[in-house]
Amino acid sequence: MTQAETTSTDAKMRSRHGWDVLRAVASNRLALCALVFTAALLVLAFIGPLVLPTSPYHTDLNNLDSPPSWSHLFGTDRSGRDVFTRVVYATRTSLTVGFTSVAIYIVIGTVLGTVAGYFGGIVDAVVSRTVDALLSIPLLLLATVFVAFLRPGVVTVILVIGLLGWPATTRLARAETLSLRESDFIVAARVTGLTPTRIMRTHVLPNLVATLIVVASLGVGIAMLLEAALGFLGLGIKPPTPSLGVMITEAKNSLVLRNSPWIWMPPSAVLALLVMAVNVVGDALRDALAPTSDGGAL
Amino acid sequence: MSHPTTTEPPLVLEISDLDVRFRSPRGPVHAVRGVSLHMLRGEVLGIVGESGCGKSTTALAIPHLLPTSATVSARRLSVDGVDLTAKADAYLSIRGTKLGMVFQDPSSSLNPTMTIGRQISETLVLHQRLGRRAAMDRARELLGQVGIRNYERRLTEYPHRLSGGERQRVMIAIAIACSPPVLIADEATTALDVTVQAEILDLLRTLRAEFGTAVMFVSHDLGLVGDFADRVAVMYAGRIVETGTVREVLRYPRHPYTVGLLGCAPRLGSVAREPKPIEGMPPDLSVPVVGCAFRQRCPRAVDRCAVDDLVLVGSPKHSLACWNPHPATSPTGLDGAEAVPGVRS
Amino acid sequence: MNGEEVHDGPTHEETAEVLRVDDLRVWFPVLSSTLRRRVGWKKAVDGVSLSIGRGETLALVGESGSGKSTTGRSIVRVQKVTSGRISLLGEDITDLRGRALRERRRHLQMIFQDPTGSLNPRRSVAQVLDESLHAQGLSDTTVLKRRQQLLEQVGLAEYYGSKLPHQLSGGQRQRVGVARALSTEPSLVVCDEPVSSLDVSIQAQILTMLARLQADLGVAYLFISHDLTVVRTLASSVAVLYSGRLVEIGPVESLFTRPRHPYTAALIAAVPRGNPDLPASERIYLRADSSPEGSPDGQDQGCSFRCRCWAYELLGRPEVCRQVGPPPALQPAPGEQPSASCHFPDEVADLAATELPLLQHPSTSNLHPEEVE
Repeated sequence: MTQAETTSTDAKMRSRHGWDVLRAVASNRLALCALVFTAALLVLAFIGPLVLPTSPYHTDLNNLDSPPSWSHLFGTDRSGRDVFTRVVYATRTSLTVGFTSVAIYIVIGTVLGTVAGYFGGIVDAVVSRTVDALLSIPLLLLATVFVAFLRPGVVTVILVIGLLGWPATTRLARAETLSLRESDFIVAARVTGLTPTRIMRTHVLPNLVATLIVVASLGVGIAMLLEAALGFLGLGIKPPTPSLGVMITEAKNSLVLRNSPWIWMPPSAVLALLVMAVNVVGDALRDALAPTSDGGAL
Repeated sequence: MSHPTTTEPPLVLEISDLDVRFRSPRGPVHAVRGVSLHMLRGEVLGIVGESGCGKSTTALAIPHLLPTSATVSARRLSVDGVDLTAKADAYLSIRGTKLGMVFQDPSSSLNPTMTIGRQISETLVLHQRLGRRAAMDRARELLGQVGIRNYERRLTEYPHRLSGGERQRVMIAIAIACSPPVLIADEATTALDVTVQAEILDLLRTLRAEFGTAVMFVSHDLGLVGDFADRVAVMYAGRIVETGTVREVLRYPRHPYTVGLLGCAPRLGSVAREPKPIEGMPPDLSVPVVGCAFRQRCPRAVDRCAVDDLVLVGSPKHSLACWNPHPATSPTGLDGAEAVPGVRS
Repeated sequence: MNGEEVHDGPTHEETAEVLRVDDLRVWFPVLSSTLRRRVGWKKAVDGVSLSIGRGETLALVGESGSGKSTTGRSIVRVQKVTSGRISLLGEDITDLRGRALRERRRHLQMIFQDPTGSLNPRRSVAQVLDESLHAQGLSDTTVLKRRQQLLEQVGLAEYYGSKLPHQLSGGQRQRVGVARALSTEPSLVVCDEPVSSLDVSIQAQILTMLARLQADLGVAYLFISHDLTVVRTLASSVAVLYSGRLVEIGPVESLFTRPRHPYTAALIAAVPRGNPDLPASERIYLRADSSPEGSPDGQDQGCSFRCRCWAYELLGRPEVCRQVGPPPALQPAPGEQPSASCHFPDEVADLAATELPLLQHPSTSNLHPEEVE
């Protein structure tokens, strides 16, 4: 229960900071744009499917491969499906894949990296060598092998990225922990008699957050691109399930590429802008979370 | 090199009404507020004060070494006859040649990828247009002068092979390479051990005696300044509050801040006396200061301190800016004169 | 080496002694740059023995690289020890680990040199203190009460509890560091250069506070410092370290007025006196800079300080200094004069008195104004 008390003060601190952080992020104009854009897309992607009149699988046989019009905002694809509807659904898929898979590997990477860095010795050796081994194999190659044993689909893609992406994060978390470990405040915490778990949770982790946010925001972008690449290779999400990757794949056909830009341009634009926006927000968050920033005044 | 004879030695540094403001997110910080000082040839002027009092800022403003966030203005700023207020880039003509600098951290002020010899001769090639070989010869000579042992070999070595004291000697060699009349030492011995510090001070004394170099010795350590300087200027919150000869100011301090500062310094005496702290903290200089900046911490503050601005008044031997100073006669500072029989006082 | 001493067990009275260190060694392997093979040892601490009594202050002085910080860190058990024994309140803690060590640690705290680095930038003052208090298993109400009491003891108003480190000044941060150290009601606090990064006026505030806390709480200090003047005001006894070894140890008064080791004498002579009338050049008594070449290689049989020793020449380059290492400096019994690791301590003390004029007048160092009011 003593733990609980301290944790509740932690929570208070955090909620007090919540608004400050948001205000700090918003004070940077570029970050504000990116934040609004990401939020808008999130709303669109997760509310859209509930209100949109058509299904992404509905084929309008009267309008095959037709350019944008009032009835089909972004036009239709070669099967007569509404491109706008499909982009909304595809964004939802991509965002889900991006955020979930990154969340998985950030957790794995942080835990492994912190533990390896804090304890050193055998634990560190095992973790570090595994990381080295995994990093020496291209992720796409590993993913191919992985997918071969599982049924392709959204969950598979999330698992592939989530379970294979952690080595880079681990390495980073380990390096940061190693240098933090030597700092006086960690020594002080050890001397006051705190347990290693407690030190890692309250002294190491909070000081890793800034780095992790940057890694994660880059990671979300990379994961969405990876999903597209896997889809493009036919290893990811299978058509007709809408995903940005699947939709861009349709531009493999040079006729589509040349004559029907409305089919591939919207998903490509959304993907590119989304990746950029997430990175910008990540950077701004890192700055806002610096302990010396009083709600971003500096 | 012509030595001055019995006449008053020439003025090598003159500053009057120096003002420095820094841009900061919380508004301008008035770091130096109207500092005036001068140095004669071969003289050591100690500038003492605590962090943030503007002592380093004052020193760095002379060779134009402050960050771009600083605005410097002065009624007069001249080094060895060169008026620095006349032209915007006048400082270029004094750096190295008329003014040398030695900084606090000897480990970061040398380039780790260049040999000692190259780093010293670089200045010579630039300012004195010496050839590579001639510059190297002079560098060798300088290393000998600053008392580095095995200097022949040191010439071709890299900074990491040197100890802290040796690095600081190399920095001094670079600073005096072109025999500048003024040397600014900004906390130059702070990072060094006491025994090494004593050696560096001795080196500076020798340089002064041999070449008549005037040294501006910026330090937080009153003891050090008392040992080494001829005159001292005590700074607080961007101002000189008391100045004069070391004997006068440190033995008969009159400004309450100087008295307080002397009281804080722990001593080596045979009867260990508790240091008496000055309570409180220096003022925030981003807020305009009205009246005396020390009055909140001052045990002798009077009503007038809160309103009236102060100016330094007194003789060249001893002047101060205070409305209610300690009386002139009480020996509140060094009580050392009688304790050292046989030493002139 | 010293086999009996290590296994003998404590023979001292358990009441008086807070800390006892016996023949402590901390050696770091020196690795070759290419193959990462061990090519030698860097003996950061090489056979240090000392003890601290209840409510006493032992100052550990020395220059950079003398091993004083390593000694301090070994004592609080954050630095691995090569050999030797550390006993706290009569109990050997050298090999304790995990839970057992954590439980002993409340008796043994530390204050750091850098008040900024020693506080987690993301945790408020209250969080820092509460954490340590909770770790002792105190109830929530007790924690709150203790926190207020601690803040008051270090002279911080209660509202400072909600501040983050960057909102505090250097002196205030150091006060928080002191409060954290006191939070476990320790018997001994290792103070590692606690005032070196502070301004003189703030330094004096912290020093008087430390003295007051010692008087109130009876805590003992191991006060690590390079600054002899600071040590002079606070310590009851002093241990002088030179390249990992104790060269002299003894009561502060006699050690400062009649040093028996040439290094101690040189250190004291080098302290700035703040007096322009003192002869300047007579201060330098350590020969040679502390360059790598300055110390003889490990093969040398004699006294390792000899090539920097000012007394060596004056004593006529005695054979024994070249042939035999000096006896270790061991803490003298109360009332006895300091023990120096030197073959000629009495001669050195006499020589120092005549040859180092500054030593005769330690009081000339005072930049201390009398009470004026």
